[in-house]
Amino acid sequence: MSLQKNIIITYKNLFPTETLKTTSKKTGIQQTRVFRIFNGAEMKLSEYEVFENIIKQSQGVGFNDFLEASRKCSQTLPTEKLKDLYFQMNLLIKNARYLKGY
Amino acid sequence: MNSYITSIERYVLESIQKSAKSIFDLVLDTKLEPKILKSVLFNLQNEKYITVRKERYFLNEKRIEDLKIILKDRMTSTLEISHIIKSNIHESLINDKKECFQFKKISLNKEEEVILNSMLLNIESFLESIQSKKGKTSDEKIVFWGMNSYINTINSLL
Repeated sequence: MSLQKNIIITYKNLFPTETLKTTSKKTGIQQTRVFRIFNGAEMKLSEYEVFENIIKQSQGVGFNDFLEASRKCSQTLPTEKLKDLYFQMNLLIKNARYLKGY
Repeated sequence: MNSYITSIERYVLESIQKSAKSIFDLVLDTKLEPKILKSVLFNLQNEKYITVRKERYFLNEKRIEDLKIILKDRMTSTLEISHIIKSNIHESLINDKKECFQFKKISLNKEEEVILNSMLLNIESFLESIQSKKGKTSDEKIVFWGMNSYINTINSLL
């Protein structure tokens, strides 16, 4: 899936009932432009960054923060703790899948 | 094949262990949402921990020994129990359900420590005396207790 498609899906999952007007206000992107982006028009890099920042702020811990923390864990923590984290993450993934029904 | 079982998988396995069940029986016994239950059953079947005969789910005899090893594995048990306790802490602190988890830091003199230890032993004896009773899986209670010194707790976190 393309980065653009990914970010639009993530945004819509975070704000499923948001109107185009509200998205336009939040992003500073014209409403008609938001409509075209959501319907497949290619995003500019600046537009992508706006959406990415809103998602990061809304999620608290962003994807990059998570990757950075994972990298630091792999460098700092002893094997036992890494194993523990690995199992915990897998348990969370499994449970999340069950909640979604697959 | 996975070498760990999640709490929800254990929950369903325990229900099937009591007696072979149809999906309808499992919904009644576990009170799990059918969508979630079906997903867990599908996964347990894939892992060959359960089999289906005449629309009833059974534990797979051929994998019972493997299952026992996995369920008794200390790493798996530690993770499962910590998830369970964490969820109860969340219920207590975030959702205000104080009955789910209570926590105190206290100073005890020797006499008070003896009294508290004896109360905890009483709880343990009582629970052991009623442990063999079996009822509906969804009605079972999870009880946890224990005590540790502040410094031992802090050291074990490091």
